[in-house]
Amino acid sequence: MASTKNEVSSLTKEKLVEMLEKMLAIRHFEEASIKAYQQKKIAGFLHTYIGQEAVGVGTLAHKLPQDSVVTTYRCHGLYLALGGDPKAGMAELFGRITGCARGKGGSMHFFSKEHNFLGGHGIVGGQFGVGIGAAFKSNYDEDNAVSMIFFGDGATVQGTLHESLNLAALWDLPAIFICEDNQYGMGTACTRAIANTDIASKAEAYGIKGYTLNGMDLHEVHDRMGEIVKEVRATRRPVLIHMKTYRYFGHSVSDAGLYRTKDEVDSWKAKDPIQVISRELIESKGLSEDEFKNLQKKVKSQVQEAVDFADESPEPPIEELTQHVYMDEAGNP
Amino acid sequence: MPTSMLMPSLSPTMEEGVLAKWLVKEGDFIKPGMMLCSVETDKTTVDYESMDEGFLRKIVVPGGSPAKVNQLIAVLTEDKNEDITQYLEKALKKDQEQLAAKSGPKAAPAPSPAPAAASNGSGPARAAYTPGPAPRAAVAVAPEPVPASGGRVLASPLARRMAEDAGIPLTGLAGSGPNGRIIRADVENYKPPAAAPAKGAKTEGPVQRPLYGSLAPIAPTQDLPLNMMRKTIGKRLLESTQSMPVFYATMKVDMGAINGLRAQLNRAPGYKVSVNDIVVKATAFALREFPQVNSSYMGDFIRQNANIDICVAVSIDGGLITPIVRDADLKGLGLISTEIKGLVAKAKAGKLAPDEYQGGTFTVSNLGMYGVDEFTAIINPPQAAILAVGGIQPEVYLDNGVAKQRDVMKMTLSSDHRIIDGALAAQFLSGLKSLLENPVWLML
Amino acid sequence: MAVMEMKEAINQALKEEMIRDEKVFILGEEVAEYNGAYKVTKGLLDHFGPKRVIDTPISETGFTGLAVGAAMMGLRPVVEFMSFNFSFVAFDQIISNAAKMYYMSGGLFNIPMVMRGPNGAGPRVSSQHSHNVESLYAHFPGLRVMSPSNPADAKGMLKSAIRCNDPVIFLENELAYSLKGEVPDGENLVPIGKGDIKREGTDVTIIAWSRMMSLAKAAAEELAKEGINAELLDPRTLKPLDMPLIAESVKKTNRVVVVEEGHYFCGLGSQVAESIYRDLFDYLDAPIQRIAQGENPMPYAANLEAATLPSVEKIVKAAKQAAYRA
Repeated sequence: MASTKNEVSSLTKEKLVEMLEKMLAIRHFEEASIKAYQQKKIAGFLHTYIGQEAVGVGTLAHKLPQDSVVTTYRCHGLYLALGGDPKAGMAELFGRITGCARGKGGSMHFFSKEHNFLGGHGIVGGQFGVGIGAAFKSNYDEDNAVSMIFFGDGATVQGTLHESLNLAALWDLPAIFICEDNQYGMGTACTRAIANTDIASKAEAYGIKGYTLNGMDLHEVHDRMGEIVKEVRATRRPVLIHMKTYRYFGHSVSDAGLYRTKDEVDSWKAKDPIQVISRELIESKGLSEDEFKNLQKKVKSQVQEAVDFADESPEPPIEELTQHVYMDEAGNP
Repeated sequence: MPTSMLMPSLSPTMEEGVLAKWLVKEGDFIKPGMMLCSVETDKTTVDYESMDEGFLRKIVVPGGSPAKVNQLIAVLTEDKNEDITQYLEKALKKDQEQLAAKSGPKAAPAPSPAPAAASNGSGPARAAYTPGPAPRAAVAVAPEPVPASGGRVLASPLARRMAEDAGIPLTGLAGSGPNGRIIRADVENYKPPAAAPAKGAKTEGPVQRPLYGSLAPIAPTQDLPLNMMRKTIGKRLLESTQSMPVFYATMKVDMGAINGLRAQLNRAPGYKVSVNDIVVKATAFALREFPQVNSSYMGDFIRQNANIDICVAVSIDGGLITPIVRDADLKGLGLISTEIKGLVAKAKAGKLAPDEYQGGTFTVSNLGMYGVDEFTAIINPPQAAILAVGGIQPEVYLDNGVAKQRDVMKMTLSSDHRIIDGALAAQFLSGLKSLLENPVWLML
Repeated sequence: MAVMEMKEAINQALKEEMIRDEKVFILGEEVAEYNGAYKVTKGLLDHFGPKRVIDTPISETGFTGLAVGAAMMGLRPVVEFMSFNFSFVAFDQIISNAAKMYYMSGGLFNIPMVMRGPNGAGPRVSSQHSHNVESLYAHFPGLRVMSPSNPADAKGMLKSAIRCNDPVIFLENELAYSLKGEVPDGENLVPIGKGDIKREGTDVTIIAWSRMMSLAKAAAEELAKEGINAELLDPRTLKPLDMPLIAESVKKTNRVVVVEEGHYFCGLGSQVAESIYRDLFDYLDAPIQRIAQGENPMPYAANLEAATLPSVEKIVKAAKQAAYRA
């Protein structure tokens, strides 16, 4: 469970730049989506990943094509980290036919078949079964895959987590349960909702291993998750991981954030993974300021392209309303 | 490349707000995360956090000013000294156009749970349901029976009943509904074939009978089924007679003043005020004076009604109906007269709406035009009383031993003794008599 | 052609489909080593092994969710609910996940999953174990709902359900597991959405499904003695309803009785009735009669249970009323 802060990181400059770019892409995409929301171009729920980028980028660096990923409604970050198309993502937020779910899912329901990204789920804890189901399939087909199941601290007390941990432990399902603990389930601090806030310790109850990681430290996330994913792939035993992280914005856009102080938010912002990594690259890995600026520009223009694409895309045609209710049309009531 | 900062929507229902105060000034370098300004939304005041980066070059909406959501509030540039004149001009123009247009080009719907468009995707195509009467197409009367496929006449259950009540054979109707279904409108719009009834069917005045001593047969013995109206009248009045302890009181009224007043009133262009109109208004005033008479028997309690809604008994084809003059005490004679005429016409055409004949707090029934001197009317439950008015007759009376003539009208009040006692009935009649003998008081 | 019990017919369907497609697997409580709480899955563990016939712990949410995830990744799970009363524990997985995934992913992930088990009244098992769930599941777009009334239908329908690419709620009945019937050899698939006429008639159409069809059959015989010739229509699939078949029958008889084991208010029979009123208004000679369970939870006492459920007598009376022969 130790942090690898003082050990030599396995990350080369190139790899680090690649991951920084991914984090920047998520950050700017989310900022643009908030702005668009304030312009009433996006409506309904919008849960952004700002502050948690290191968790997603560091973990998914180890995903193989046959692996699957599932998460809660705070799903844009993972979608992008997997390689999802930001244009399709933004168009989905704008409710256009060119969206990754053809405008029928919205912010909480991003999916990607090519990346085995099983969604974007709206009900807290609704995704656990899906995740262990994918792990089950990997055993059934013997394809050596693992299933990564992301969830928030709020979901640790939902019954489905415990049923799923039990099933995974009982049946040796290669499922990696990753709790992105951003300290608050909506407006309720962990300490007010969870009797035992040492989430990794719950693993013991199921006879599996638990790990606690610093979710703001990209190096730690990347290196430790690399080891853990290998381990799960080899042993076919599930694991429970507690990633401590933070979200700078409210639970969703309509959250006034009255449950935490500005000082608290600021203290976490000081550990911002994007700041830390970009400084590391510039100060000790030979990245020039100009190169960094260009990287920023590149990402911003990609995001702007996505916004423009979404803006110009049409809404779904009315016929789309009744499509995809069933795959087999077998008559009507 | 300059960037536009637009007025943000900071609550799902916000359409406009006030830019209360700028927290930065022109020339400052803005970073994401910095608080730009305080915004008064429709709910509260919130600090607006920047998502953009750049130099704040121009504040377009000053602090303290209102702004609509998506209105241009400021311009940022990447480069400190970049020229923004052209950009600003264009942006302001776009702003004007957008504000002039009702909503933005691809305005997303207001955040709310997505309203489900009523989808009839499955099932046979159905026309959208529009409540209300079916379209009233003029229906041609078919002289031959109109068979549907298979020889059946399609008709809605309601249409069947209406046709039966009105004595119209279904085969005499053409249906305007789906598949030729006969519907309510078809029955309502039915025009009987050319052979018109012998007399203009006026229900007022004496019924035409063959000459006395004539051997010409009249109608043979017939069994006439009770239509809905007959049934209802019978049921209600039987109930009234059997369940109420009723007593009657009669008073004579000197109609001299009314005769004079009527003559004057009817010189006003467009008006023909009848005696009954005046009786209705006077009754309303009297009920003001004696509100206990304006009551309803509710079983466990008596409801003394605040509103004075007077039913006027109207004879129609097949029976009797009592359209209502609502708030009769508040309406002028002219309005009452016009209203009653309208209601009577509707009643005879069978076109009264339920709220026009259901309810009421007191009833006036007048058989004077048929030559009746006096009669006792049956109370309409749950009303407390009914006034039966006879015709105006001249009579001779003694005034200090001198024989004089006057026109007299008799009115009889039937009262429910559970609500009204003899003394009250007498006082009410007396008050009403005073009003009728001093009709100019009705101007008060 | 062979005569067998309903549970045997279901067993055969499961076995044949598991042989035909190796992506099909079964999971549920006691389905493997115990051979099934009602012995429906008897012998399947021996035949296919523990990889494909899986005993689950008592975790309905967990294993139903697992089935959804497996289906999203291409497998074809058949989930057994020991009874559909327990499906309520997994309701969120069924309604928010199974029914929605294909639509909210914009057509990326379909859910070829069957959920089967006993529905409705058991023998004297009281209120928590006697629910009829058809109208609850039929309400949500994205699910198919089927309910066989005899062994041949059960086999043919379950095979179709397993081959269907959408989630199917397959409602059996505990009291009917030992109902015997002829089952023809061979595939004999019953297509989804197709009902059939179990008895031809002219005077009144009695629509009934699952165990109620047995009652309706007995009622038809009673009615025949009084010269009333009833037509028995078994929709077999409850959603989607076979409206063309229903239309044909109603146009012929003009009177309808709908019999269901579930409660009256918002029971599936109310949809059947509304669909008939909507499409066949002009062919109705009388209002549609509905026979359903009373508006009270299922009691334990034998006489009360009998009084609250539909009976042959109630069906006969309703049919006579519809036919104006009461």
